[in-house]
Parts: sequence; structure tokens; C-alpha cells
Amino acid sequence: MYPIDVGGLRSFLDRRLRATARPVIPRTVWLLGLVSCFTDISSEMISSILPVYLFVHLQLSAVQFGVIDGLYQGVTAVARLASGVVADRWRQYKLVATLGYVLSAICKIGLLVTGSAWTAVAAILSADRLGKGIRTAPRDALISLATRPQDLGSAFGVHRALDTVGVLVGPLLAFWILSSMPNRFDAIFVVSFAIALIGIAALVLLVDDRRGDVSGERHLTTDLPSLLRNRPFVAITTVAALTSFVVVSDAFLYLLLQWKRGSGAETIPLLYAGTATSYLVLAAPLGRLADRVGRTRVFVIGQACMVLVYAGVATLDVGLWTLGLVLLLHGAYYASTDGVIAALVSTVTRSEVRASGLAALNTATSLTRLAGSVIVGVIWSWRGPGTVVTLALAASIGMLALSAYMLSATNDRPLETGTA
Amino acid sequence: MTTAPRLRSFAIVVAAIIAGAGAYLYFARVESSTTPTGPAGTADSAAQLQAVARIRKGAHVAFRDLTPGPTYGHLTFSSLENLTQRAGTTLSCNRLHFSATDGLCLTISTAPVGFFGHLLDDQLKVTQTINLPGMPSRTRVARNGKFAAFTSFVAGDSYLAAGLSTRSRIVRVPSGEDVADLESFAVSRDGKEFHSIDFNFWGVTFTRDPNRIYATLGTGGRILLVEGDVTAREFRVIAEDIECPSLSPDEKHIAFKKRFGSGFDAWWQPAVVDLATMTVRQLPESKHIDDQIEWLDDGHLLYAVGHSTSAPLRRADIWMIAIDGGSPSSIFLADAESPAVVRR
Repeated sequence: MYPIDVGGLRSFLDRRLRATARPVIPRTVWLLGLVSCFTDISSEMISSILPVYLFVHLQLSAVQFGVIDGLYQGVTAVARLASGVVADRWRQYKLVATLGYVLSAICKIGLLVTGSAWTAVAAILSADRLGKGIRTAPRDALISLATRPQDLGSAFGVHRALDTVGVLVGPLLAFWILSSMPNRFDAIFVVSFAIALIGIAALVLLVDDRRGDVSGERHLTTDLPSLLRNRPFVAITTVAALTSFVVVSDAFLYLLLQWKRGSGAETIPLLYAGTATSYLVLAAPLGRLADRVGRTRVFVIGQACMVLVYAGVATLDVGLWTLGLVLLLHGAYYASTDGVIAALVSTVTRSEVRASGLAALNTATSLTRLAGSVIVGVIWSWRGPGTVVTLALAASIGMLALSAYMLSATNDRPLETGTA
Repeated sequence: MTTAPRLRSFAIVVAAIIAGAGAYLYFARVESSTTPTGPAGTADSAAQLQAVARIRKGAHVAFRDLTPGPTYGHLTFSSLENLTQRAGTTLSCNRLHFSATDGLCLTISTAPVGFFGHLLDDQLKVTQTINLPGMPSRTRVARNGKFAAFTSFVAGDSYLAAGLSTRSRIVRVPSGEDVADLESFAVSRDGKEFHSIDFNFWGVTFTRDPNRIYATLGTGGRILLVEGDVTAREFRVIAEDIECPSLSPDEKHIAFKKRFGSGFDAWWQPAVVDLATMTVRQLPESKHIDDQIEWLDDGHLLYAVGHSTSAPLRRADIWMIAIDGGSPSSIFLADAESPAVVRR
């Protein structure tokens, strides 16, 4: 037991530094990172051109676009949870994840063959989201089960960094294809499909499934109630869910920055790229830092980054340098929370319910994120962006204090050792 | 399987995928280079430009040509004296409007990807390009050319996932400089301040004094006609159920879209309100209209009616109707939409 307090920090640091002098990133993690990279290139190619495609090619009316957008956002919560439970129950992490990847890939080719029937387009886009919901938890479970417990932060960091490469490359590739052959959306769908297939091929042919340590029929049932009795798990999930609720979504943060700078809608893709670059660069180092000094600690650092982001937006004239700093901190927030929280949940859940735990985390955070966005939207329209910034700053400071308090009681020690 | 054979089969699969996608890209590239789609305003021949200039010397109508073929979607002109002859540019516009001197062409572009508004000078040169926050919806240029207004559908920042809002802005002509976002206007109703979180503005129409405008305010499922002052940034609600107004040249009437039904089943038909008495006259037109109505003259309206087809290519015609309601509508220009009448 190393309770995380200042007194214990020294011995804690000593042990950690010795234990994780060299993180071991298993081949599986690199390969899954590569799979995610390809998949994200594929899906970001589509989503970056989707509004234009729907309007130019399909001549959808705006109302129909609103419906599609809604389906696109809201469909995954249940699927996430179910896929985690299924993967745990049948110990079929790779199979369930593969199904999710395959479903999304089929959707790319579906867009190519669908005509202008907007219901078909809406169904395809929902299925694509469904695929993403299905694959996330079993994929993260594979990462966590393949990695030594003391290296989990580094492993998730490496995975998230590779994932973010795809986020950056996808839109560039799509724009390049469209500018070299205008209006050929079919070419985008075909290339997107091909890249998704490469990702699936890497998953199916190269990634090892994780079934080796399974024995006895105990594993054929999932002990879901044990998750709810698992106090560290509940505390971590609660903190993560509250954080998602409080943290203003990317879209709104960028609107706030535009409001401060008075710039037009054209800069939004650049802001996304700025955050993604920072996230990409910092994910692995901050993951490793989490392994060394404690994951809860780095998670709290992430919260502090978000406080600084809002403080920057609230108080300063957002010049170019400030803008860069804000985006750097925004990326640092992701780098010190997203993979780190997955590592934390992996640390405190037994392997039999690992995918379920990760899935519950995903479901909780995506639901609170949606709720938070709705509320931010209402406050924005009702009181204006100034109030949004003030409230976000206050809420993030409160969240910083709350998570420092709640997580300080959370045992950061792995429950199982030597699973790798 | 050991690692080496798995790597080998992976390499083979990847090579096959790359070969397939590469071949598709190659043929797509060859195909699209043989059917040029012409970037904005670059390929106009001298003869074309002369024909356009000749038509634009007199009273004319500017519109979006929808004849299937190479001119589809292009900004095109016809003389009001001779509607059978068209002279086109290669500028693609989804919505357009003109004053005697200036124009605004809203376009959905695939290279670069995005929504843009091109401000056009008297020579149809693009003087300024505005980045639109979303899909082009309505546009008007004030008759004296000082201001232009446009409405975009914004889906990107809709916080309620299924919600969709409009964003309307007024810009200075020809600089394109921002004058006002209609969302920043103070609204009053019956002398009292009126505010709600779900305000949406669309469909601006200018008066002879470009500072004074009419527009639509949507809130709580109701449609309100507002009249306002651009410099003072004030609107006042003057009527209900008058959507997407269009002021007649003599400023005696407002033509508008009357809404029937609601939600997905809603449709719109043209109607006219007399501003002196505020009496509404429904016109003998049963077809559904979408875009803002344009005035041909003080007694006649122009509006686009889309073909009911499931084909991906949008087809529409511009129809004409007299506002006295005495005669049925007739086709004014086939295969065209977004009319803008210019009389010098």
C-alpha cells in the first residue's frame, strides 16, 4: 500500500522509478496502436468531408442533416456496455473488437453504394458509430491484459499517440484526394475502406488474442455486481464521468477561442490539429510519468491543465502565443487523462471484468459528455459565451479539488501482478 | 502460426488492398481530368464574357443554371427581353443575389472543402471570399449595394445533437467586412424586451435604406416577422406567421413563404402581405417552394420549385405568379433556381 500523500511520496517515487525504469510496451500494444491509427485515418477521412458530402452530393435538406447528426452522436452508449460484457463473458476480446472494426469498414463501402436515400445514409452512419462503440472496450482490455501492470500508463499512452496520428492524417488525405479530383467522393470512400481493411488485416493476422490465462468455468460468467462493489472502480469512474460533464467539449472550446479572437469558422480545423498534435506528442511521455509517479497524480495534473486552459481563455487576450499555449495545455489534458484513466480502471479491476469495467467507464463518460454539452449550449444561448467561460473555470477548479480528494483515497496499486 | 508466415500473409493482403485502391484512384483521376469541372471563374472564354456583359447592360435576371450537363450549377444570366437565351459563367453558386453593381454567390466547394461566399464586382470578378459557418441557405444584396446578407445552416456547433440552427450575418459590400450578426440584435415585442434561448434568424430582405431590414425570427416553434435597424442592432416583432420575407421594389408588399403542417411534413407556398393593411393574400399556387421569393416587378413574383425526384442531381424550375391572385403560375425559366432580378 502506498497511500498517495506527501509523506509517502519519497518511497513511492523510489519504488516506482526502480520498477519502471524501462517500460515494456508489448508487441500487441504497438500493433493495436497501428490498427487504431489506420482505422482513425479511415474514419476521419469520412467525417471531415461528411457535411459537404451530404449537402453537395445528396442535396439533403437541413432538417434531415440534423437527424443524421443526432443519430450519429447518440447511438453508442448501450452498444459500448454490451460489447464489454460480451467480451468478458466469452473471453473473446479480439473477436468482439474485430466485429466492431469490420462493421465500421463495411459502412465505408456502404456509403459508396448507397444512392440519395437519406434514411440509408443515416443508418450507415449510425452503424459506423456502433462499430466504434463495440470495439473500444475489448480493444482497451486487450491492451491492458497484454501489458505489465506497472507499464499500463505507458502502454495506453503509446496506443493513444498512434491513434491520434490517424486523427491528424485522415482529414489531410481526404482533402488531398478531393482537391486533386473534385467531387470524387467515391474515391474517398474507396480509399477509406481500403485503409480500414489494412487495419483489420493487421488485427486479425498479427495481434495475439488474450485467452491464455483463462481456465475453469468461473470465467464463463461475468461478475458485474462486483464492479459496483469495487470502490476504487466506482470512485475512478465517478470522477471521470464528472470530469466529462464539466469539461467543455472541443467544439465549444474552439467556439470560445473564436469568440475571443474574433476569427471565423475556417480556423476550427487548425485548432483541432493543434490539440491533436499536442496530444500526440505528450500521450506517451505523460503515460510513462503516470507509471512512475502515480496515475491519479497525473490525472489530477490533467485537471489542472484544463483549469489553466479556461483561465487562459477567461483572462488573457488570446493572441497567437496564448492560443498555442492553450492548445498545448488542451492536448496535455487529454494526454494525462484519457489513456491514464483507462490504465487506472485496468489497475483496479480484475481481468475477468476488465472489458466490462472499461466499457462502463466509456459509457458513463460519453453520457455525461453529452449532458454537459447540452447544458453548455443552453447557457451559451441564454447568458452568452462570457458566462460559459466563467462557469467552466469555476467548475474545473471545483473538479480539480474534488478529484484530488476522491482519488487520493484510491489505491493506485495493481490488484494483480505478473499478468504479462 | 509463427510470426514470419503471419507477417507474410499480412504483407500479401496489404499489397492486394493497396493495388486495388491504387487502381481505383488512378482511374478516378484519369476520368476526372477528362471531365473538367472548372474552378471558380477561370475558364470563361472571351465570347462568353461578352455575351454576359451584353445581357447585363439591360434589365436581366441572374440565376443558377440547372440544365444537366457541363453548365450545371453555374451563375448564368438572361435578358428580361429574351429569356430563351442564356449566357453563363463558370462560377458555381448554390444561392446568389445581385444589386445593380454587386453580387454575392454562396457556394458549397469541394476543393478546397467548405462553404464560401464570393463577393462579385461589376465585372463579376471575385473581390472577396467569406468563409461561411455552414451550408448556404439565403442571400440578399441591398439594392444600393452597400450591404449584403446571408443565412447559413449551422450543424457543426449544434449542441443538441438533433438540433439545427441558422446563422445570419450582414457584411459590407464590396469589402466583405463584418457588419453584424443578427443574433447580436436586441429584439422587442409590443414595446417590451423579448428574449429566448432558442432565437434563430433567417431570410433578410433590405429596404431602399439598407440600414432598415426585415427578417424571420424563429422561436418556440413560432415564426415571427421582425423589422429592424442594422446600425442600432434592434429588431421589433411586427407580425406572426410570415416567413422568409421579400420586400417588393415599391416597398408596398412583402412576399413570403406560408408554412403548412409542421416538422418533417411541413411545406411552404407563396403568399403576399400588404404592408399598409397587413392583410395576407394566399396565391393560387399549390406547389412547394423552398428558397426566398424574388420580385420580377411590383406585381409579379419569381420562385424556384424543385422537381420531385429521388435522383441525386437536384432539378428545379423558376416559376412566375401575379400577386393579384387572378392567374395561375407559369414557368418563367426551366432548369434554373435562385433568381435575382436586376434593373438598371
